[in-house]
Amino acid sequence: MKLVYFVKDGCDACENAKEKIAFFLDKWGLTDSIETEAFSVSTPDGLVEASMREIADIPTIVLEDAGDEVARWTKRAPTSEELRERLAV
Amino acid sequence: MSGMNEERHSVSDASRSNVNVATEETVEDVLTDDPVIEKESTAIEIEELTTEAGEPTSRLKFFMDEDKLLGLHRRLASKLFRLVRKRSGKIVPFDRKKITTAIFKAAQEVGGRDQEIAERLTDEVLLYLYSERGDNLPQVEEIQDAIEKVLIERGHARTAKAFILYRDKRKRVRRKDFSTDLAGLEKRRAERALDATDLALFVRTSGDDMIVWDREKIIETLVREADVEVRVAEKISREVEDQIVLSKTKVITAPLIRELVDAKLVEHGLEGARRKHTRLGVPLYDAERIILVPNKENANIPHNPEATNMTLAESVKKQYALLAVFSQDIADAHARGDIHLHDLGFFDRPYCSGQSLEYVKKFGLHLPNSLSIAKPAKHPDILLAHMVKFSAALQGHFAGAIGWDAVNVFFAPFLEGLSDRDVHQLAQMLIFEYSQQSVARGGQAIFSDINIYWETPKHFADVEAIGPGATWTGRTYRDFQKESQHFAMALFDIYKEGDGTGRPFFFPKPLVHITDEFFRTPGHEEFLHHISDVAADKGNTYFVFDRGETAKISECCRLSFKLEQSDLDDAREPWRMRYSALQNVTLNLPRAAYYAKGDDAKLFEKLDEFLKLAVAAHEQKRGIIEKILSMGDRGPLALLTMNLDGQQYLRMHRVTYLIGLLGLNELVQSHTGQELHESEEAFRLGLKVIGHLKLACEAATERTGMKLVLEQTPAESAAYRLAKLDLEHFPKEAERVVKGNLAIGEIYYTNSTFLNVSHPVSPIERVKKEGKFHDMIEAGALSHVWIADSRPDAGAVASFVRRTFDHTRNAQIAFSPEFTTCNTCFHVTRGLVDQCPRCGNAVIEGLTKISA
Repeated sequence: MKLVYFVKDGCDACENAKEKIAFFLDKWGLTDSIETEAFSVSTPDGLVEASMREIADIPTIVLEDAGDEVARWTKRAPTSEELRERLAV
Repeated sequence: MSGMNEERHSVSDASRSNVNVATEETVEDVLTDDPVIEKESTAIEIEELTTEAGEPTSRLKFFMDEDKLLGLHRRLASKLFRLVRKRSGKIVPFDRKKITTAIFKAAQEVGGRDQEIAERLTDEVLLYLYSERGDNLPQVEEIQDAIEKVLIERGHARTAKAFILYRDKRKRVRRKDFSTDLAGLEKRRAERALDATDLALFVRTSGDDMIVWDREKIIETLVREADVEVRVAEKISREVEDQIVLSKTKVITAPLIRELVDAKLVEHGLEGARRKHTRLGVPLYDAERIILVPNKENANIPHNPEATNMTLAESVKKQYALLAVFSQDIADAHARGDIHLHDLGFFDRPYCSGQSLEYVKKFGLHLPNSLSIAKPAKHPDILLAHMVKFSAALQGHFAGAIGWDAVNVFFAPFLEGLSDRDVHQLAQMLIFEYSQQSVARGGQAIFSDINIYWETPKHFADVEAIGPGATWTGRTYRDFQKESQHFAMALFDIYKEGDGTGRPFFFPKPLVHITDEFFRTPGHEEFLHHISDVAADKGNTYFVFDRGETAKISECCRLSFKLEQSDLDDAREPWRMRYSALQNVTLNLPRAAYYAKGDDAKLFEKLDEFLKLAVAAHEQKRGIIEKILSMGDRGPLALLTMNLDGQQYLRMHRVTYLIGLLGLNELVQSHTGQELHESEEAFRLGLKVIGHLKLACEAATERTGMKLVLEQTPAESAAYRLAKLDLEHFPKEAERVVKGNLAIGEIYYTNSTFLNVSHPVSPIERVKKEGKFHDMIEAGALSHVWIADSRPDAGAVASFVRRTFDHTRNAQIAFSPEFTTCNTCFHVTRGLVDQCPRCGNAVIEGLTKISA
């Protein structure tokens, strides 16, 4: 599985969301098994990726399974319960 | 008033003697070329000259404060009055010292001794002259009048009197000289008559008169208008005169003289001067065509004398803009086709605007320089009249559309208690008034948009409503939702009926805002079905999608802006909510690819270069608009400077500057070999280009303080013009990608970020794919759903709208049917046909939205 972050330079909520998820992944021992990738919409490449996925708000966190989107959290980080459920912890 | 004080000054016999000597000279000499007086005056011991109140006259506040005076004086001294015309007509260099000397000598006559004060009074004389005449060449008499005026106004009545007596004396002497010399003058005239250029040559001027040839007018004009040195101007005038003499012509026009002079300026290598001196206008052939042949480029402009007036004026203003408003590099970039400056013929006004009906409800119709003022309306039909008349007035002050926000919401308090028939009557009046008035901007109907909401927009829901007579109703707009919805329904009843022949209305364009709240508001199903029926049948409805917390105001069919927090704060006082885009500059995207030759880095470098030019063009536009606005109610944009609510009507701090996009599809095709729809790689490059430009706009906004945003280019003429220019300058590259029919020259670039319009793609796929660009195009974007001669079911359209809202990022969609109207029997047929199916006549008119 893979978590994809859509963030923006200077966005505190984005940083907080990433830190929160990193904390729980670490707590659950998933840091090595869950791939993560971040796209900044402050860059053209980040905008391309966000547009392709029709993401208009930041932070947005997308959970993928084998390349398919299985969950999306918009303008917020997932709660630990949501994340636990989706990651089948 | 200054007499008593002036009498206090001691005057030595010696100085009186000097004054007496000075007054023997003519003031004309004093003002021009008499060095003797200057020497005498500087040798005099002086005592401060004061006004009656004992104030030194350095207090120059009568006209303006000292800093401004000094600043303006510097301009005057450096440029404005470089020459003066003597009574004889001879033009000689201007010398301010002559004025100072004349004043000082008059002061000395009554005991004045401070030359510094004379210097400052000279400043005032120059200022006064400038305020009266601008930078026109002053004549000696005018300068003397100005001296008198300033001396009197500044409290130096006795000095003024001395000066007046002196003038009078000189006048009498001149009369005597004239009588004495009359014989000699006649003799000289007779001698000059031998010169063919003096006697036989007449000039037909632009002022509708015929005057005798005067070579010195060329000198005067070259110095005043083009900053040419007197010596060079003299030489050119002689060369032109020789050329005219040799031609043996008897009458020459002023424009031809100007062209001959311009040719000489080119010969002398004075290109800068030629630009300043050039004449604007159109060739006779072009003028005749403009007057007699209908303009087919813009379906909204009729063919009548007002329209041709506008076209001719637009042509001249466009030339002026490229010569005098925009810098050479910008004008060249436009001419070359790297960028396209829209509405150059309207450079002296903003682009388009959005208004609030609350402004009219609150203040009535109170326009600067109008012949009458109307108090706030008390009845709905009067409110409508005010709205339409204000729109017409505004249309003369903007280049583009006049949009109105939340029209049904703001009308609602006036509709309470009206019958269904009355509401329909009002709706009918509104649509016909907008679509039939040919009152402004070349006799066009009012290019207008009305924004309509089914629900009460969240930002207005709790705002106290303004009622008839600008009274506060004590209720909120939410309380009038029933009336608001009634009016919205009625408006679409009228759109559905069409005009008297059943044709769709062109204006006002109805923009219905689809929001999350829309789908939660009772009755939305029926309303959505109704507006979808109109979309399918007539094509009028524009569906604007405001998802989530987004609130938007739309100024025209595609230009819309998200409301920021400051706007939402303004919503408490909705009359403040008026917006404008100042200008639109389009980037020729395919050309960037031609320059890049497949190199990604070069592609983005070139795009940056084009954007930089566009930003500079916006700065220059802002400069000219600010300059005009600074003229206040005496300037040509007086309407936009009116201040009824504590701020200027045109809120310059809120205007946006548009960066138009054209031909993304062809850029991608040229760079990758595939069109946007042909591969993900091509599509991603398209997104990257737009993303890059969006971020570059944000950086430029930060740098310049101007809100620069991307916009889908609306102008169809730019799509043709830039494609045509590229075929000339980049034939090999452009031929591979331009769309249309090359053989007959009907070519274009695909509009903005659209997919190839001829690509067979399902409507939902097109709307979805094109929608992926829309979040990055902040000034609004639109997708057309082409339905041509088909007639989809209203339910299917409604379902399509819902799916678009829920499952895409598309910002706005419109359905585009096609029609044919018979010009003989006025029968309206769906689709484009060659012959009227009812009467068989071939004189038909096709109606289709242009979006390619």
